[in-house]
Amino acid sequence: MVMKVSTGQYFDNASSQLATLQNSLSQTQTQLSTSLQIVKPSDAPDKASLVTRLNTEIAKQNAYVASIKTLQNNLTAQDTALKSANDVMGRIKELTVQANNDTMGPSDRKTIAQEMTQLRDQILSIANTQDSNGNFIFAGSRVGQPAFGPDAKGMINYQGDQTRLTVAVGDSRVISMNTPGSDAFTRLVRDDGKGGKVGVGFFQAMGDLITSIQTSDRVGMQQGLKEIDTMTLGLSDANAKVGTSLNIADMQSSILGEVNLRLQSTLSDIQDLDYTKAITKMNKDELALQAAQSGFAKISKLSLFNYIN
Amino acid sequence: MSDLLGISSSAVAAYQRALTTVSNNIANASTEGYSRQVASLEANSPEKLATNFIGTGVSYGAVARQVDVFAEKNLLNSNSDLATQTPIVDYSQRVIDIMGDKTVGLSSALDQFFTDANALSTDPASSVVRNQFLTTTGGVTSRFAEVSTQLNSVSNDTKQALDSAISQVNTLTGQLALVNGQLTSNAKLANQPSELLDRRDLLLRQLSNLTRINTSFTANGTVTVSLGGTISQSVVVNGQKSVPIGRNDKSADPFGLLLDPYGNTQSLADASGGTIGGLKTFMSQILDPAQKSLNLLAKTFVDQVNTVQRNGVDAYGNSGVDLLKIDLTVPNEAAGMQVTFSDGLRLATGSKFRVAENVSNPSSVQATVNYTPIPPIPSVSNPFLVNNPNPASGLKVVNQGSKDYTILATVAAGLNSPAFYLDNAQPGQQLQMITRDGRQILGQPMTTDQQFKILTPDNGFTQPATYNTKYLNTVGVNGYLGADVFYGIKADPINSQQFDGVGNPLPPVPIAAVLTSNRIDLTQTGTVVPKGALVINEVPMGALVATSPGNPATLSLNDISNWINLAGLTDVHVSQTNLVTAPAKTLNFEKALSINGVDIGVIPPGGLEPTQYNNSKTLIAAINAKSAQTNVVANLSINGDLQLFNVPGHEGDTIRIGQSGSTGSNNALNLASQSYTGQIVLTRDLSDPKQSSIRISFGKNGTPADLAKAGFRTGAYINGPVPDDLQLIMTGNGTASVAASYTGTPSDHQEKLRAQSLSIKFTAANHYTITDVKTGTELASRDYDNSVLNPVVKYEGLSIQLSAPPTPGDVFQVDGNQDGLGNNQNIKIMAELAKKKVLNGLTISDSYIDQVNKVGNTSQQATITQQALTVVNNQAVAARDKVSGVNLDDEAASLIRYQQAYQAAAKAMQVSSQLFDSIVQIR
Repeated sequence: MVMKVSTGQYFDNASSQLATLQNSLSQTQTQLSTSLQIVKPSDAPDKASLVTRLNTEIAKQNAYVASIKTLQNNLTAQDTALKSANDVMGRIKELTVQANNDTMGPSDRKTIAQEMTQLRDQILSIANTQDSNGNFIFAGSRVGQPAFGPDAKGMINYQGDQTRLTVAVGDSRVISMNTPGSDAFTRLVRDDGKGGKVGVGFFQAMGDLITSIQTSDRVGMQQGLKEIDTMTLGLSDANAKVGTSLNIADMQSSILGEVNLRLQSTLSDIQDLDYTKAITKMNKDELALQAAQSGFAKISKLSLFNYIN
Repeated sequence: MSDLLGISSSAVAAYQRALTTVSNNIANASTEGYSRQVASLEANSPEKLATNFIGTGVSYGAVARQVDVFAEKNLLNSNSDLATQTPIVDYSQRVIDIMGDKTVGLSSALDQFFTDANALSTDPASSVVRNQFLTTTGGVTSRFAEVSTQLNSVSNDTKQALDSAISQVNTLTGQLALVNGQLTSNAKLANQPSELLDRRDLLLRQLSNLTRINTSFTANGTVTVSLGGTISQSVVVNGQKSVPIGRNDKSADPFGLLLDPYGNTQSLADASGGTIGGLKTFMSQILDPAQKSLNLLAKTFVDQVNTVQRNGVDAYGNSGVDLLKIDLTVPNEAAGMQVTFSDGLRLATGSKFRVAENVSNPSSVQATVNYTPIPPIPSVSNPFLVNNPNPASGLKVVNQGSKDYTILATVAAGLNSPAFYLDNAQPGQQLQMITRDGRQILGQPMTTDQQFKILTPDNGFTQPATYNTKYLNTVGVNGYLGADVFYGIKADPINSQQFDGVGNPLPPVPIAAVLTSNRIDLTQTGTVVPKGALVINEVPMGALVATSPGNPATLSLNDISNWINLAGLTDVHVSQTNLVTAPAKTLNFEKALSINGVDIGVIPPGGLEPTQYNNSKTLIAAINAKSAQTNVVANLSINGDLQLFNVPGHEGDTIRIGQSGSTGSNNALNLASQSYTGQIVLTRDLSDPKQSSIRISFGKNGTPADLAKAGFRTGAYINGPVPDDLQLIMTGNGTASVAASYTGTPSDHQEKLRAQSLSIKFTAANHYTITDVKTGTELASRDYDNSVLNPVVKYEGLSIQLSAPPTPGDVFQVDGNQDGLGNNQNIKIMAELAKKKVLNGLTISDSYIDQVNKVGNTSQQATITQQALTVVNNQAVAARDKVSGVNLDDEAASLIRYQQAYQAAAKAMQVSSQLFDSIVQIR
């Protein structure tokens, strides 16, 4: 036997079916106008957490990218400073070799000493380079005061600290951010004359060299010649380290770019609208709605009462 | 009436009624709850004519209400099931839209927080970036508050929805009770008006949308409704009575339901299904966990951020203070989160400690320092060593056999002027105070055996601690970290505060130091204290020998006076005294008294109490009356106590107190009946109020037992703050008692360390010393083991690592980082919080996302269930409508059918009339 459908139920069903179709169309319409598959989290509650997680991950990668940019600025400033210090050291070496030449007279040496004093001051000002915020870049973490300055005894010595800072540029990748002045403008080790060793500051050693050139102190000049090499080596080492950090930063930057791209495309797969699919669906729904409307209009007209006269 | 007219007239009447029924169906085609009615026609009983039965027509039987009880019941259940899902879906979608939203949700705010922490780590010196981070932190707090408030408003809406559902239930059950009342007038279901039953069923259907119900019907159609698991539990409609339900405002669970809240109240925990069940499920499974986890997350976030902040230093060089706090007056923690300061420079971006290499280091070894907070210790770590100098409150300590020492307690640095007293010491017993690194600062030098046994990690010493007596019992600049310590007995001049006539304080007047001994044990004989055992004001003392007549000779007060005078201190004066005090409160004037064997008060024979006195005044008079015989006088002290002392010329003499005629202790002074020996009093001239103290300390072989023999109590004193955590130890076998007194509280360990500047000096490649730079105190001297992997120099939570083996002469200085503006070490830890698993193995962000995920899944599940149940419900509706619904085409057909039958019956009547006429016309 055929199941009997009551008139009331027929109308209820028809109206709820029409409402469902209209709802679906309106949803597609919103998707098309926002170009998003998931307009609000409740559209796909099971995917809400995934979308949030991906957004968090992307924010993290972007933070690393921003860190790298600042870092690159810092490192480039250090690189520039250390390179020019190296250049100056080249000239100092030349002058020291000249001064060591036996053909030089005391007055020639005085002239050389004069130039060297200027060169030393130039290196000192490089060592006290400041960044755009006025912070001393070679002072460790004590950035508010010059890296090298006169100490209690009036000697030019390192005034910063040895805080070696690193910055996270990936979940498991850190790059060193600063070069404490004492790591670049290294101290020298001399015999203390009592069988032990003693450290001497960079600028102090250079001062000693200038004095010995001024006074034509042959032993001092010889020692200075050796020490200049050690000092240059320290500067080159520091420069090489900064260069390496810069390279790593560049590399990490491109890695982060790739990771970001991958995350973005995953997010887009979930969240963004596939227009072809959406438009096809809209057309289908539209057709169905039209059919349902016309069907309802026709069928609801049918009634036995029409035929009772 | 088997005649034609009878038959047809019965048919006309019956079909008319049938037509009425059909038209009633048509009329009610869209009436909610209407059940189709069907007229039943019955053939009348036939008449017997001879052997045949002849029909007598038709009669209208009854109007039958079309109803399928099973389909009805099914629909009720299906309604409840479907209605349960609706609030879950609707409200959980609201929650997910709040929590998962990019602008309202917490996730993006947390992302920004960590992004800005990262940015600050690349440029910690910039106040712009600092303030940016602070603003972002404010953003996190307001986002927490926003999410919390939104969830709260969902919670309020849910409560209102529940209240509304409850009041609907009460209305419906009330109406059902009324319907039941009307139904009672008929005894049989068949006789009940259809419309009344329709109404009853409609009410039940509406009720089933609100909550799951159990129904049972009586023979006449009245219904009993219950909300419980069975028909007899939680009955809400019974006959003409309905019982209201309500919400329990007072319970912790805001969704606790009550049956009959204003009468015989019962809990209605088992109500389920329908809108009410859905709301309860939503609250308990989605909203409540979401709110709780948000609050927990808020607390965790605040804790974690504050912990990092406190472990760093800000741009001013101060230790970081809490960045966030939770306003406890706000009901939800998440809504009460606040930023505590608005100055970006107070963000603690730097680490608390840093290490610097000395400019003249002969090597280029680089050092790094780390700090791990060590747990704080109480003032005095042993709870049994109470803060009370009274010997009676002392802690009894027993050293026996090979266990010849006891670690009594750790005395915390920062405690103010502690003193530890040793009473009843056996010869050889000492109090010792040693730092964790083996610097002994108080006591007597320990033997090698003691050092070996005591300086172990198990006893709280560092490994390896080296024993050192450089700072033993030293004072001032020579002292350990400048501390002023003393072992022995001392009396200092005190400042007496005086006031002028109108109460203004005058400059304090120094009062000379006075040192009074305990009562001297006069039974001691021979050499009481050996030569050189004791030192008074840095002058070694000779031997104390008993010379008083007797065999053997016993000790007298004069022996002690002479012994002290022999030290030759010109500014210290020795005198003797004997003061016996009887507290005013315990004087008993009903008892007798004798002093030095002389009766003062005697109870006369047959009497009850002495006649000599009856109050303290008369008692004093009675004592003083016999002064000539006793050499003792009495007076009242400032606080009203009675005191006895010797008359001039007899100072220091023993005073014997007893009851006349007996030795019982119950004398009028209520003091033990015994001899009270005299005391020695030392006074020092006041030349320099800061230095004119009297100090008796120990010589090389002196012990507290020697000091006790001369009547003095040994104490280990630290004047001012305790310089460092100290181990308090009692050495030497025997049983003694240790009492303590101190003020102040321990200093913050980290801050104390930060205030210090430590110099680590490598005296050899395998040995280093740690020196406090300010005082020059050598805090530790240890071996450096180069053979282990990553050797570490550890001191009080600091650990210093070197990049390469050190060269002798290398010096590294560790300080509290007062000016490391560019230091990013701590803010980096803040940024790393993003990766730290802090809540059940999840990071802060993940914990939030996890909650979003839970709500999302529940919501998704509810939606799927809702879709499935909608299908089920549609079928249930269809099944009911199949029987009870009105189909107009059906009715039209019935209309035609009955109309035609009616017309035919009418025709039959006409035929009958014609037949009659035919008969009549026969002429």
